[in-house]
Amino acid sequence: MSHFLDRLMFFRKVQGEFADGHGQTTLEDRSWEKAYRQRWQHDKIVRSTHGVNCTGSCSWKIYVKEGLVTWETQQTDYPRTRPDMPNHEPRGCPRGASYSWYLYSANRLKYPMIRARLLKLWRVALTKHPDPVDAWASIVEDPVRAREYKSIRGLGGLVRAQWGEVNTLIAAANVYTAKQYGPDRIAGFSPIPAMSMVSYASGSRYLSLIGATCLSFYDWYCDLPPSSPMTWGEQTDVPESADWYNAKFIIMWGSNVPQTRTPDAHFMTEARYNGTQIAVVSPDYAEATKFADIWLAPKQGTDAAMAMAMGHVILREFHLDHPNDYFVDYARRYTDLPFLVRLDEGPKGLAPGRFLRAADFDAALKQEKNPDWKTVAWDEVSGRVVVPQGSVGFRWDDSGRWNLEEKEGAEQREIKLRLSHIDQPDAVAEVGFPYFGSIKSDHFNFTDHEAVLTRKVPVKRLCLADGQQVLAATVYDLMLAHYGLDRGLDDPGAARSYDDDVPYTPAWQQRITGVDRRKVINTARAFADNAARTQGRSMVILGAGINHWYHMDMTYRGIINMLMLCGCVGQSGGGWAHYVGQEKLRPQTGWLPLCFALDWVRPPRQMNGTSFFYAHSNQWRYETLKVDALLSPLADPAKWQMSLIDCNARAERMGWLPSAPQFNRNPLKLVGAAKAAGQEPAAYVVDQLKRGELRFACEDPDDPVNFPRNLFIWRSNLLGSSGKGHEYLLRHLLGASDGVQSEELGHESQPHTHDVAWRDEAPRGKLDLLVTLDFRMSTTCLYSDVVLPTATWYEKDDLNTSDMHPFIHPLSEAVNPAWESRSDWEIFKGIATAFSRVCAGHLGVELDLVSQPLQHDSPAEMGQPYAIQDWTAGECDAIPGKTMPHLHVVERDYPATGERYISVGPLLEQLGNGGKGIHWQTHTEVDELGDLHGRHRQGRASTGRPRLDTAIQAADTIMELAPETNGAVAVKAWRALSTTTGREHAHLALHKEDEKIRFRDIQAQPRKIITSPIWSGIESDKISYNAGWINVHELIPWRTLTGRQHFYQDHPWMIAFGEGFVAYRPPVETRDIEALLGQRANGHDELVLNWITPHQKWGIHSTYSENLIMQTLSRGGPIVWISEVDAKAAGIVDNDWIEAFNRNGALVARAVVSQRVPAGMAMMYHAQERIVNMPGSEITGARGGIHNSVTRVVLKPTHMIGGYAQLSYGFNYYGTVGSNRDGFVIVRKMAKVDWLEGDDESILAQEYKR
Amino acid sequence: MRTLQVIAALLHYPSEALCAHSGELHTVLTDEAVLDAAERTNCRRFIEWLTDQDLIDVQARYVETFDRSRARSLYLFEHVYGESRDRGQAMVELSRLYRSHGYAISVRELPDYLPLYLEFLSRIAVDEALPRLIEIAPLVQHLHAQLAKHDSPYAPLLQPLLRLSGVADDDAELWRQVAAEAPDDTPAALDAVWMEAPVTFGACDAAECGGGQPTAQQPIEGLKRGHTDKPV
Repeated sequence: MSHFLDRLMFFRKVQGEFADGHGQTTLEDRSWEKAYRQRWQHDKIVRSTHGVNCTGSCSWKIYVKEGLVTWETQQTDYPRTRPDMPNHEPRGCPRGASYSWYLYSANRLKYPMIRARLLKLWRVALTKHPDPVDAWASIVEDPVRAREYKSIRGLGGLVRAQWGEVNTLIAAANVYTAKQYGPDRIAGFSPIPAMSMVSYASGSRYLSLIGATCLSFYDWYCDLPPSSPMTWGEQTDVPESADWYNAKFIIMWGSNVPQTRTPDAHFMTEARYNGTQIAVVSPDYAEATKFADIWLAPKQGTDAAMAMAMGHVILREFHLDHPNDYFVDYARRYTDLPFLVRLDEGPKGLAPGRFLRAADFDAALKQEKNPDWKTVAWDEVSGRVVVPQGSVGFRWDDSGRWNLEEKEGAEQREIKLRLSHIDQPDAVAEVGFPYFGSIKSDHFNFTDHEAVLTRKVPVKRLCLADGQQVLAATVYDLMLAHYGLDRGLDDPGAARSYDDDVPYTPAWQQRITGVDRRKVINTARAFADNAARTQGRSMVILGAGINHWYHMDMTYRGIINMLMLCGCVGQSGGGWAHYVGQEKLRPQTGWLPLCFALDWVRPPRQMNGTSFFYAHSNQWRYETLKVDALLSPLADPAKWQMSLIDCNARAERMGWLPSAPQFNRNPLKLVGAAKAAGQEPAAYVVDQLKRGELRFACEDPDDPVNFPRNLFIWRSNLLGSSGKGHEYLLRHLLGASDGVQSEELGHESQPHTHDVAWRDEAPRGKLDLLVTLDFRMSTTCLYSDVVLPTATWYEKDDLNTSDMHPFIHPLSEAVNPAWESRSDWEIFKGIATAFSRVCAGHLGVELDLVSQPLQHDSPAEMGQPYAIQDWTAGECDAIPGKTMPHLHVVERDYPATGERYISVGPLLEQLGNGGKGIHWQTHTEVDELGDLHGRHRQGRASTGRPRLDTAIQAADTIMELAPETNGAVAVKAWRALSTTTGREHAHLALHKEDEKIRFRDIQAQPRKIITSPIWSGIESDKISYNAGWINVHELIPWRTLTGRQHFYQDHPWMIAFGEGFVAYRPPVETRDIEALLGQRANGHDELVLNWITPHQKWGIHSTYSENLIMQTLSRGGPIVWISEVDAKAAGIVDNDWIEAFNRNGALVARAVVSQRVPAGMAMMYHAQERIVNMPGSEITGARGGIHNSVTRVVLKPTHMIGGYAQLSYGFNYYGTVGSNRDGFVIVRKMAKVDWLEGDDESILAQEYKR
Repeated sequence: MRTLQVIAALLHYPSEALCAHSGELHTVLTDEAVLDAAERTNCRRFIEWLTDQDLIDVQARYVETFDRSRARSLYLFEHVYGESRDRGQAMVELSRLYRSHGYAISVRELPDYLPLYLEFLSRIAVDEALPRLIEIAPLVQHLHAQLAKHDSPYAPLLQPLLRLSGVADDDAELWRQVAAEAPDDTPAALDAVWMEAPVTFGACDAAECGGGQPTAQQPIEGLKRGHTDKPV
C-alpha cells in the first residue's frame, strides 16, 4: 500500500523549531526592532577626513541625517594592494571616531568674536575717523589705548561680531601696518598643509598677495630632522607604512607607532606575523615595546652613543673583517665615502677639513663650469684623482651630466672610485677628532676621554694647482678612524675589541647609555646580517622621542649611517622611516602656486618659524647657552665670542636664513628711495646697508619699527600646543600676563650679544593684532583679539595626503558650516576683498623690495664654497644672491588683492611651474583650468583669468597643475629632469600620461598618485613607496654637494662645531632650575627631572585634547608621568596634584606614577589644554600653565648654515629647530590645590575671572 | 503663550533690536499675565539691566555666561548627551517634532537651543506646550541653579519656567548637589556621565518594550530616563 496520500502535496507544517532546536520561530510583535534599525538610517554618506596635524590621513564616512552629522565610520574602499601584501584598511583611530561630536559641542566657535575693549575702541575711533585705516592708527599709535586691549589678552571679554565688521577691522590693520611699517610686519602661522592643503593655502595666498610673511612650522615643531637635508638634500622622504611589511628587520627607535601612528600600526603587527624581527629602542616601556623581540632602553638623550656603537659593530664585521660585496659597492656608488677630504694643520694637529674640489687641481681637472662645486675622488681604473659626475656643480652647469653613472665628468670615462687607501697609502697621518662625551653633567653619564681623539688614517699626498702639497683621505678612511676601528696601523687610539673603553665601542656606550653591550652588538649584527642577506631590507622607524633633542642630528646621523653602511636607503623594505609631523604634500608643485600666489607675484616672503619666535618673543634675552660652549675642541673660541642670536643675525645678513621683518625701513618705500637717489633698487639697498643707513631688522628686534605687528594663526593651536617658551610669547609678543620666573636673568646675556642691539627694557605686546581661525575655543583663541569661526573638517572641501600611504583623498562639505562659521577659503577671500576696499587712498600699485635667502634647489645654493666671508666685516663684497640675500623688486597691485585671490594669475604661463629645481611650461594646464572652471568676465585684474572662486576649484587647480595628479604634467616633469641628468626617466610616468585625478574622483574613492620627480620614490604595482628609490635605481643624484648621501659635512661651521662626522653629544645644559631649586619651599620634597613631552594618544593629535571621551579614556585633565622611584622619594602617590616649574614658568597636573617611566624623567604628553581642569599654580599664583610653560627654545648654529648645496634654506626644509627635550624641571607635590574660585564647576569661566 | 517667546528673546544673545523693542516685551508680559507679579518685576528689572548698560558689556557678559561653560550651556542636549554620538540623532528627532507642527528652523541654529525650543512652545497649543515644558524641567532646574549660584542676572528668567512646570526653583536637594558638586574630572565621575543604560535584547511585548516606532517624544524623554539625576 502506498503512502502517497499521507504526504502533503501543497502544505508543510509550521515548525516551531529548526536547526535541531537551536532556532525557534515566534510570532511576537517585533516592531520594537525598528527603533534600532531606524537609528542607523541616514540621508547620505559623505567622504571626509580629519584635517590638521594628524598625518594618519584616514578616509571616513560621514553620516548625515536631516542636515546634521550624526556619526562617522571608517572608509574601507582604499584601492587594494598587490597580492601578498596586506591591505591598507582599516585606517582610523578613536580620536577620529570621536570627531563628529565636536561639531555641535558647547565649545564650538559659533560666531566671529572680538575682544570687547578693542571693539569699543574701534567703534569710537570710527566715529572720529571715518576711514578705517585712520581709525586703526588712532588706536595702535596711542600707547594708552593699545595697552588697554593688549594687557587683557587671555582674560576673556570677547563678544560676538559681524563678519563685515571684523573683516574691515582686520583689513584696516593690515593696510595700516603695510603702509606704515611694511607688509613684512604681517605674519601668518599654519602647520602641516598636507592635511588640508586648500585651507592652508587660503591664508598663505592672501598673505603672499599682500607681501606678508608665512612662517614655517616643521622646524618650529622640531619635527624637521635636520639630518635629512644634511644627508640627502631632502626635507624628509620616507617609506609608506605598507613598506614595513617588506622589511625583514625593523628597529623602532624613539617612535611609538601604536600610539602615534595608530592607523598604520596594523602593518607592524602583520610584519611581525610575517616573521620580521623587531628591536625597540625606548627609555620607557612605551606602547611600541610590545612589538619587540629585543628591547633596548638607553638613558634618554644618549641614543647617539648607542647608534655609533652599532655603527662600530657594523663597520668592524661587515666592512673590515668580512667585507660584504653589496655594502661595499653601495658605499662606493651611492655615498660620499670615496670622496677626498683634505687634512688641515691646526693648533692641535691635523684635522679633517673640506672636500677637495676640481678647482683645487691643475686646470680644474678640465671642468670649466662650477669647478669650486665639483668634488673629487680617486679612480682605481686610471689611478688618479677624477671628478665624478653628479656633484652639485654638474647640476647647474647645463652639461646634462648630473647623474650617478660611474663616469668621469669631463671625458665620460668609466671609473671606479676607491673607498680606502689602506693598501697603498702615501702616508699614515695622525688626525684629531673632537670628542664631547667627557663633558661633565649632573644628569648624564660622561667618560674621561680626551676632548681631542687622535687616530691614525691612511692618506694620499696630492699636489694642488697652487703648488701646495696636501694630505687627503677618503671619508671612508676618516670615518673608520673616527669610529675607533683598528685598521692594523698600530694605532693606540683604536679599539682592539668591543670591550675596550674607547669611543665608540659597545663597551663605551654602556657607560653612557646603561645598555648591556651584548644587546647592542647582537642587534647591530642582526640588523646588518639581515641587510646583507636581503640587499638592504633593514629599516629604522624613528621619531620625536629622539628628534626633539638639541643634538638630534647626532642621533639621527648615527642611525642613518647604519642604514647607509648596510645599503638600506633606496631599497624596498629598507631605509629610514621618520614619522613626526611629516609634510608630505604630494601634489606639492600644483599647490605651491595657489598657496604662495606664485601665479601673481614671485618670490613670496617666507620665514623660519623658530628664529622668528626666538627673536620676537625675546627668548634670546634669557639665553644661557653660550656659543663657545658648543664649539669643537679643535676650533678657536676667540672667533666665536657671541650669543646664539648673533649667529642668527649673521646667517640672515649672509643670506643663509630669511628675515622677517627684513630691514628697519618699510620695504614699500625702498624702491622709491632708490629712484630718488638715482640708483637701481638692489644697488641702493646694498649701498645703504654698507653705509649703515639701512639695517637688517634682526640687528635690533626690540626697536618698535622692527616689531611684527599683525599675526594670523589658522589650523593651529600655536599658544596651546606648539608655543615653546609659552610664557615668553605671552609676555613679550602678546603683552599678556605671564608666568616667567626669571626677570633678572635676561641681563646676564647682555655682555655677549655682539651684533644684536641690547635694550635695557624689553618690549611687551609687540603685536597690534592677533587673529585666530578655529572651530574650538582653544588656548590660542583665548589670547586672540579676533577669533574667526571656521568650518570643521566635515563642513568644507579640501585635499588630504600623507606619507603613510600613497593615496589622495578629500575633505568634503557633508553639512553646511554650522552657525556663522565659514571655510578658511571663504574667510580669507572675505578678508582679501575687504583689503581691496579698505586700501583705497592708502595703498595702490606699489613696488616692494623682497629679500630672499639663497635657496636650496637653485643655482644660488652654490654660495661661498670655501671659508665663510662676512661682507659686514668687510671680508668680501656684498653681492645679492651670493654673499647676502637676493633683493627682488615685486609689484603689488593692492586694490586688486581680492580679484587676484579668486583667479589664476598669468605668471604660470609667463614663467612656468616646477619644484625641487625642475621647471616646466604649464600653458596647457592653465588653459584647461579656464575651460573647466570658466574665466572671469569682469575685474581689472581678473578678466579672462581662470576662476578660483570655490574651494573645489582651488583643489582642482592644485591637481591640474601637479605631476602627482596629472599624468601629462608628470611626463613633462620627468622630461625636464632628463635635461639635467642626461638620462631617460619618463618611462616612470608614460603609462599614466592620460590620467587626471580630479576632486570628484577622489570623493568617489581615494586615488593612488602618479610617480613624479618631486619625490624620491615611485608609485608602482611592484613595490611599495620608499624614499631614495629613484636615486639608487634611476641614478638621479641626491641633492647634495657630492650628489651622494653624506656621511661627512665639510661646511666650516659644521667643522667648527665638531659635527663634520657624527659624534655623541650629551644633552645641553639649559640652566633652567638652578635659580629656583630649594627657593620656593612648600613643605614637600623637590625632584629634578628631565622634561619629556611626547605625543599623546588621547587628543586630536596635538591640536585638541579636551574631548570628553578622550579625557575619559585617559585620566581627564593634565597629567605628568613619573617613575615609582622618584615618586617615592618625593612622597608623591598616583593621582596627587603636582607642580612642575623652572625659570621659564610653571604648570600643575596630576601625577601618574608608573613602572613604565625610568627614574630621572617626567613625561607630559603635549598638548594638554589649559582650558580643561587647571587649578592655580603655587609658583605663579595664576592658573597653571601648559607643557610649554616650562620650555624655552635654544637655537643651534649649524642649523643656520645656508648657501651651501644641501645646507641651503628652503621653507620647512632647513633652518633652526625648536628643540625642547634637554630641559629640566623641579617637580613636587602641591601643598594646596587652589581652583582660584573654590570649586571646579567650570574651569572655563574661572579662566576669565582671575 | 507668547510669554515664552519673551523669555526666549531675553535668553538669546542681546542685540540692538532687542533693546529697542523692550517696551513690546513688557506689553506682552502684562497682557498675557502668565507671569505673576514678582516674576514680571524680575523681568522688568532684567530688561532695565539689559538696556542701562553699554550693549557690548552685556554681550560680553552673555558670552561669559553661556558660551564659555558647558554647565551653563543653553543647548539642552549638551546637558544630556554632551559630546556623545547620541546627540546627533536626538537633534534629528527634535527637528522632526518641529516639522510635524509646521515649523522649520530658519536660522543657523541647532534644534536643541533653549530659546528656539521656547519659541516653538510659544506657538503651539498651551495644553501641548506645558507637557513639553515639563519634559525639560529638570534641565531648566539645573541650569537655573547653576546661574543662581553665580548670581547671574539671567537666573530669574528661568523661574517662571520652573513654576509653570510645577518644579521648585529652590529645590534644596538640587542646590545642595550643585553646590557640593564633586569634581567632574575623576575617573568615576567621568564614567558615571558616560555610562549608558544597559540594553536588553530578546522577545517581549511591544508595549513592554515601549515598542512601535520611536516617537518624536523620545529625545526629550531621554532626559527623564535618568541622565539628569547625575551630575552633569
